[in-house]
Amino acid sequence: MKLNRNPFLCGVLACIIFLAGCSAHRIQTDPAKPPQAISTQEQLNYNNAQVSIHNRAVAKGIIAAYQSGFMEKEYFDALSREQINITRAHKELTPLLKDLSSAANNAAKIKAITDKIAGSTGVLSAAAGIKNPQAKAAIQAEAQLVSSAAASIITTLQLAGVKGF
Amino acid sequence: MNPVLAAKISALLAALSAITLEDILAVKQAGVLGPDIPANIETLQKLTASLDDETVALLNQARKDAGLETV
Repeated sequence: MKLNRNPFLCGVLACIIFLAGCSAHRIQTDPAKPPQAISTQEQLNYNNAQVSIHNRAVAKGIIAAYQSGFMEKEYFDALSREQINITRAHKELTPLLKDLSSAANNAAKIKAITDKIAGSTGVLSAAAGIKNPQAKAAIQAEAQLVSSAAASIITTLQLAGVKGF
Repeated sequence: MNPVLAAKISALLAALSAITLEDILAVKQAGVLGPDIPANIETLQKLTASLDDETVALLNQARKDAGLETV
């Protein structure tokens, strides 16, 4: 792939590098005190929010590709159905991450849902069915971010020493 | 390249760039937290649920527009 000759792909790559470097930060309200560190629960819920944000971007990308005529209806049918399944699975995950004791009590369910999200985005990445290679690359990159954000939920729980992870 | 096709590709790539930009801004905005930890968690939980609802609604509307059944 000749990235230096393709400004669009370079832009997408730059965005991914930028997003990979994003982390939550707290607004300093009292300049006399050092800012409080981000708690594990906040980091967990921030990572979880990123799954939704990137998942929405994948959905919008798929819709744009289909409506522009760069995806066959059968692919759109399969991919949009899969996207809805991912989103509904993710919606079940969110309340389980509200606090660490809830996460510990639902460890198996959380792992099953994050595995499902990661597996489904793999399908999306592999079979986008988008005729334009640049559009396909952009949507695949977003799908990869969904997968990475889902994996970071498990990593955060492991690093926090939550039982079951 | 056919000029009509070239215009369609340009429009799609512009739309995808706008989606990527919106994505970056949403991630940055979600990561700005206040001093109240429980309130931050509540806000992130609500944001996540509303984004998931929006995604399902967008996809189902597009499916409906395409003559497909909603899921």
